[in-house]
Amino acid sequence: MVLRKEEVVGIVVLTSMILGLIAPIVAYSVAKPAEAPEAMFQFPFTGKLKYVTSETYSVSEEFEIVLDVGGGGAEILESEKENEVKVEIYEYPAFFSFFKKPAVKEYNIEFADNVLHVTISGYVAKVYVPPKFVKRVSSVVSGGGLSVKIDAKNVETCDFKVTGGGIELDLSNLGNSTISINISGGGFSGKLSYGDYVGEAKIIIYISGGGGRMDIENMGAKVKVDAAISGGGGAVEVNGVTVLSLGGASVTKTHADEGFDEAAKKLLLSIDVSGGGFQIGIRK
Amino acid sequence: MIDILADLGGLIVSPRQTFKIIFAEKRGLLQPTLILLVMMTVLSLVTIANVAIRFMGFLSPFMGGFGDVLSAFLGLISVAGIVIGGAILWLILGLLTHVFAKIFGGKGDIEKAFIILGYATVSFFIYVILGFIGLFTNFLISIGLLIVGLLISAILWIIVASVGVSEAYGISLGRGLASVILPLIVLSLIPFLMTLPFMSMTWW
Repeated sequence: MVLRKEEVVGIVVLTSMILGLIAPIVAYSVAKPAEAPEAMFQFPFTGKLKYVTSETYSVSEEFEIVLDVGGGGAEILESEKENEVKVEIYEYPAFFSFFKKPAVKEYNIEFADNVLHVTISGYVAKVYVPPKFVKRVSSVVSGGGLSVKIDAKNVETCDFKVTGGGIELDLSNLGNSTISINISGGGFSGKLSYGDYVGEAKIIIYISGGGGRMDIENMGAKVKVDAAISGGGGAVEVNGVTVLSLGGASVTKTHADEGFDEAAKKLLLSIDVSGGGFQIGIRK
Repeated sequence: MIDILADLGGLIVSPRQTFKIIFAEKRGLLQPTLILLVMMTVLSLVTIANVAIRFMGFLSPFMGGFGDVLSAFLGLISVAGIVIGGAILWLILGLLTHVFAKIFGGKGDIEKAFIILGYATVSFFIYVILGFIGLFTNFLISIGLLIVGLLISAILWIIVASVGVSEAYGISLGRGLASVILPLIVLSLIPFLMTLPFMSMTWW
């Protein structure tokens, strides 16, 4: 039987209808999850930054970093020089600026009483620090982004508050420190790697409308996880095994490794989510 | 079965000849309505498969089993929304196409406009095929394929519908084309005109 061209095209049309009907089933098995273009998350901003100014300080003892970010971005990185703190301020290209009123733009850099205080609004700050002197890091991000990538061997506390923004952490060589992340409408991604220590390291995460993902490596530590969810969902994996999976209206769950109380090296993870999601992976 | 295949393919390969047969046989609204509903359903399923399911896959680690339930629910809502929206659009475009065909001196009843636009949705088979291929690619490529598929299908839809209007209303192909394009322009201007006051406020 020889088919006419109309019939051949008709078969193609009919086949497309069948393919359309099975598309969702096929998608579940073959479609790769959406990945936002990496450029969107390049920190702090894509496009060319315009240098504004910089300040340099010489340090010889431990100090604290305080960052206030209100619209804009900040990045904490390791300094190339052992005793030097350098803060660079940049302007970032505005998109469709002709549609917007001029934003409030200001910056301030202070280093006094062993506290480096950087305030930016509408700017990008790159803060280069010698890791061995960083004792505390605290930041309030309100409509902006923060990235921290340092060797955190001497860091005792990190306190990040984010309102409408994002935070990206890459902290290595952590000891028995306390990392606190408070997200209210925003997101975080973190990579925390712990070195040798004795005592209890704490990670406290509070999310209210938002989400995040964190990978933690703490070899030899005993782990305890306290998780509470009120609207949303999340999961905690330890060595690839899901130890906690939460979802729904209001759920509280706890996981503790055997011998946690007696262990010399502990990791306590506390998560409280109110409308949002999280995924935590722990390797130990 | 061969007749159905010949109709479906004929609308793409030789639309004028196929519409002549359709109108000579005095076919009613049932077949074009079914074709429209089936095409809208598969079109929405392919779109959801490419967009929503991928995003649900991204969210499911955060949401556990709740993500799957939410995914299914949103999927159903989206399919229903697109099918209902497509049907409403068909009615509005059919009415406007008939009005413009009459203005351009055409002779024919409004039922013919609905029949033509219903059959013409067969053109979206290209969108469905490219969308299905998109499932095997990454998200950005699949979105690109959907956009290309939509553009080609829309152009093909305009051509098929224009030929149908020209045949049904006894007007030139140019007037048939105008009768199909002008309703689209009118519809696209309505939201623009509605947002104009807000846009001027934003500029201030």
